[in-house]
Amino acid sequence: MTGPRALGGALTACLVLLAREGRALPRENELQVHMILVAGQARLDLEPALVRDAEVEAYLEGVLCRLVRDQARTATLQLTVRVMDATTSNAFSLPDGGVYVTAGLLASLDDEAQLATLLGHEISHALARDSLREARSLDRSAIVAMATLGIGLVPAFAWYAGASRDREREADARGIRLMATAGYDVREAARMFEHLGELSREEDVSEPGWMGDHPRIAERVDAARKAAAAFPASGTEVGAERYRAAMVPVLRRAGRLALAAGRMERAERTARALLTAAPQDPSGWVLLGDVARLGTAGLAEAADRYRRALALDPACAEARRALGLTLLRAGDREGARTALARYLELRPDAVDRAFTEADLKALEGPPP
Amino acid sequence: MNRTVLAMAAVAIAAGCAGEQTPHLLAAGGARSYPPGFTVELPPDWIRVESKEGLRATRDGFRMQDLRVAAAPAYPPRARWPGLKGGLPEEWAEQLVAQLDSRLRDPHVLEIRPATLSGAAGYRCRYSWRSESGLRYLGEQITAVVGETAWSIGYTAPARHYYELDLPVFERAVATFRLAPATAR
Repeated sequence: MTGPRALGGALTACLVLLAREGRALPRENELQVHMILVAGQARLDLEPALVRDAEVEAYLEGVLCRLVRDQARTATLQLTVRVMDATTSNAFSLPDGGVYVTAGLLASLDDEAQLATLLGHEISHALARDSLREARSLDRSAIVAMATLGIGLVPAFAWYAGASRDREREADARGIRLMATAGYDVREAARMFEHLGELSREEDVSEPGWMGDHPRIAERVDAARKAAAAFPASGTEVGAERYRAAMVPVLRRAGRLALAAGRMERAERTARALLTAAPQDPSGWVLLGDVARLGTAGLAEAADRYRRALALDPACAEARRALGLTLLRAGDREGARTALARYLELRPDAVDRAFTEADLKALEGPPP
Repeated sequence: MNRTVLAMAAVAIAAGCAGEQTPHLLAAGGARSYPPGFTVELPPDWIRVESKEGLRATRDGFRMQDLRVAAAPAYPPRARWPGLKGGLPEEWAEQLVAQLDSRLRDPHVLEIRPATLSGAAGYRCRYSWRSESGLRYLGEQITAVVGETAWSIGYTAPARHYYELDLPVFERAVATFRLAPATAR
């Protein structure tokens, strides 16, 4: 997959195309701006940098619709939510109501109320036409400079959205109002911002990049707590179980992306969340085993985790293979042979069949 | 006289065209931390670009064929996967597969099998992906860990026409790749 950078490239390309043709975004005709950005979104939706899952998208869009059902401008918006194939924390919205959020950010949230806070913030920008107002004032030379420097999605959209800190504060407040009005427990809003702070610390950045124009996290947490106090009659709905159940495909992908990026703590946390959401799904234990085997927990711990995956599903080929390699490294030749042979039975067309056959042949002879 | 000169010129040109492929030698040590030194045979008409990571070579441009020799510390202090230390070649291949999956567009791993590089045990991975314009590419990478260094030699080209055309150059480069004596410890 190409990651969110390519997504930014798609919309940036629309802007650059205009610039190269000697045209800036039309400043006067809002409909024209809208149509250009809608065309950009159509390109974005074809990007393989998205995790396309109809059930996940339907769930996310359901929450989004619930947030804005009483808003007058809703009829003019195309309410869609797309999941970006990235482990980093990132989210943005387009003027027509399209919201984009990374798998990593979704995986970090605990419940639907926190999701509602995030979506409420993003859709507030569309409801207030923030990015349209900014797009109309775009400077053509800045677009060209952005493209020339190869600036990707995160800063490009932070810049493109151009949302000033004041507008971000407004979007935070509007988003919290939306989620409170929809019946969610408004106390979860502060927790969502705390998660953002935790992610930014993990990613070793002062604040998540997409929030370059956003108020500081601590300020947002404080504001969310004050807002909670201002909505004493808000609902109590949190929706933790419902959220986790809906996010199972996202958790699987986010965990793998975190592992690929070497973010072992995040991968482990995501795998644990996956196990909570789907306790009978062996993929959570396989991911935990990989984190142990490729991280620092050690081979014995890894083997134990793979065995727990196999206890849930003895036909889990990934667990058989990984257990075989783990036992091979640990010197358990018989255990390795059994696991690898079973792996090939389960997956006769495995891409690494030649490798596994070579391992099995070596295991037939005396130890080296 | 003219005939003699022409004949000599023809012999010289023919010798140049059909002669031995030029070994590429990067000196050990020096300003480069990596790679410490290797030799590999490449066609003399290929463009070569050296960098601190290694060597890139192409005949028509890197989008048409891209042959790379690269070296990197196998166990850097902040390794993504510290558990790979002492790992099996197929586990090193997992690292490449994870990178392909998170970085390329529409990636597919076609085969992973054992391989050697300069006599060291490693893996060979064949994969495909699509460019932003939708063009399908094929790639090969062979990696082996020698001492504290992960050595790789890779080749990518558009699947249609170029891949098969220049694959023999890659195979020749793999067969002739040698680590400098001071490196191969």
